Amino acid sequence: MLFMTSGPYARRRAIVLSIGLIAATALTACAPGAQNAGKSAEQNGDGALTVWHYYGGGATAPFESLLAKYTDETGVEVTPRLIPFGDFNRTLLQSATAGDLPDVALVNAFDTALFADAGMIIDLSEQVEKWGEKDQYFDGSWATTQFDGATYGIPHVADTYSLWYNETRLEEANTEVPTTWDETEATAKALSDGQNFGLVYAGIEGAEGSTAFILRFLAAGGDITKIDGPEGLAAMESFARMNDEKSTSPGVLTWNEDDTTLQFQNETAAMMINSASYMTAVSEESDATWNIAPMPEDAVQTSFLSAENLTITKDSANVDAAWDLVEWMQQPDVMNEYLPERNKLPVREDTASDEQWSDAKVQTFINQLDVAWAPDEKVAPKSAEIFTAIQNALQAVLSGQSDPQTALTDAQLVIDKALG
Amino acid sequence: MTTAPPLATELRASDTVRATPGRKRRKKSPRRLLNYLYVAPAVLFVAATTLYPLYYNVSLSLYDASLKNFLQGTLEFVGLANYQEQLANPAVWNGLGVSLIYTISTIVLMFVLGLSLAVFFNRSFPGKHLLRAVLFLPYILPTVVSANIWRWILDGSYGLVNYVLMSVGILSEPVFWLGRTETALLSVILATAWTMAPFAMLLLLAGLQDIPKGLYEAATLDGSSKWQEFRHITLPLLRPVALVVGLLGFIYTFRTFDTIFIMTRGGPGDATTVLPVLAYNEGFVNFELGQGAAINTLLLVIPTVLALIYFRATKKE
Repeated sequence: MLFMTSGPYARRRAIVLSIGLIAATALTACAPGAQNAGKSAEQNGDGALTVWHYYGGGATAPFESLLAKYTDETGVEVTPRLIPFGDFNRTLLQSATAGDLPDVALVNAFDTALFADAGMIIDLSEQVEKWGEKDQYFDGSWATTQFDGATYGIPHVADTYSLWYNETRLEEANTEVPTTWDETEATAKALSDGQNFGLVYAGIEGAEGSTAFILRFLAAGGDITKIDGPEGLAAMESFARMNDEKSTSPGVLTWNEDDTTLQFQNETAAMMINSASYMTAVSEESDATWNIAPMPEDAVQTSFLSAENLTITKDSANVDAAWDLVEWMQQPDVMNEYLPERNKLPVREDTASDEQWSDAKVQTFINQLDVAWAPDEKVAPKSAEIFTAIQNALQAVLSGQSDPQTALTDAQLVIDKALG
Repeated sequence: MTTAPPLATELRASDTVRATPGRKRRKKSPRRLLNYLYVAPAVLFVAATTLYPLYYNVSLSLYDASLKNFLQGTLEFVGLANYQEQLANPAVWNGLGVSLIYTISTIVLMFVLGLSLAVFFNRSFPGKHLLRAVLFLPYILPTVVSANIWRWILDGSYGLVNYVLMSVGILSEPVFWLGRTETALLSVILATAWTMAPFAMLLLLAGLQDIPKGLYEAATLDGSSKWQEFRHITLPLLRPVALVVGLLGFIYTFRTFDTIFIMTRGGPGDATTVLPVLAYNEGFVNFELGQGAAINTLLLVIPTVLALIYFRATKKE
């Protein structure tokens, strides 16, 4: 045996062999597919599933309880992993590179086409065809699952944006609930006094801060691929006016949707543009008397879809088991128990027909599903880049860095480049 | 003129050279191979954690790498096209300008704060060690904590800064420090300098303690004032340490991503979009991985030059 050999060359052989072993181990670890092999061995055969999501805060427990319920009913072990929203896509990309994606990834609806195009998630058309329930889904939500004529995801939950208003503040100012953007501007001005603001929205850096502007722009009849036209200018000038007249807080540029809700909750803002996600928080935390109105209209009445889709990844070793989980999660009974805890809206008509959705406030959000905008499959893969460019334009105008037309022209350059 | 004595290591090295004049390459003994084996884990570690990512980044910057062709292994070699595109991109030049303003301002502020604290702690008083430990906290706090603390302190609605300034009548209405172009960059500079000042204090204090006390005693006998002692003794003798603080501070600050991302995400507009934030957006928001890698490589140039200067300077020391 080599290590037992005595003589002048024994130590050298041992050293050379050791170096060789270290190098071989390192090279094997670096070799493409090494992690895949390990994963397959670990996952194959036991039917266990991994699910990655970005539902943080109060949303974690309901989602993970839903998965636990599936385990209780079926005996299939499901391991959830929460990845914060800001890190989610980056983590997916890194894991895709290493061949280490989970079985199921709950992704932002607008990213579905991006991941489908990149081959990170698999075509579910065959399963959906056999299943035969796709007609139950609201058109807007279902459209986000489509790419290149195939289905790459199943809608999980939906959300829309509406105008939240403080009834007391409006009554005190003797103003009606605005139904158009012109009225919204006038009402916001009437309700502002320098310390308290008429209208607030999330304008924070990044895609999240673009929603309010996009809502205003779409209402003006705009097309997201052509932001520097008259509709874009009308929308940007409207936001600039509200900023100049202090109808809205300069803080919007630093606020995300949670921060915005806090302002409305504390009654330092009389109106806010936000989604249904905050219904429970505002109900529980605020003393205000508040209500919900549809998004104001201009040339058209529109809202904005915020949603997540369940997808099965290319690295899943248990596609059938993963599909069983996804299918189970679509049942109206299951969703009607889960959705109220999440303050999210149903994505299926049979789920939405349940009596619990008849509440007037909730119904306002649900009705917005019919007019909720989502990017088509050409725009969706580049939506983060486009929304960020739009938000940059809004920030440049509101912070005085740029005038509306210049900011929109700059944003258009980014959009044109992104869309090729 | 006196010449400094050679260091012990230099003596040993020169002795070895003298002892083996003109000899051929020494035959590798098992002992030498064993030495290589001992350092092999460290070499592999550095190669895996530093050299390979660096090589990979530079390599990626030479390809048209979108999310799709990256994952599908259909990368197209484009040579220096990504660099050409980024060097013609106004956002990169804006990012470079913001990065330099941010870095230089932070270092100046950090140095002033660090030196003030170092001078303060370079004498004995009750509770000195406890106070020094407390003041060191900002440096050991995780960045996510310190950046969020600053985000809250500077918040326009409920921030401490507005509360204090409005209470004493300096401000008549709240200022959204992180939402205004003219104050956002200043705010992140302040937050970063606050974090880095204890690091500067520690090094400068060590430098101060190395200055012979006799120099101050002689100056006092000559009738110099405290300011003259500081100006003509402390500052000149601190120069080598100050150089180290400045260079390390620059390298650390120029690559800062987390503080800015948490506080402003690079906004408002592009007012605080430093190069690392721009590279992140290009790579992980827009998924233009080749373009992001090109910005990262460009980002390496200035700190690398400074690192070389640093190593040269410390070698001389």
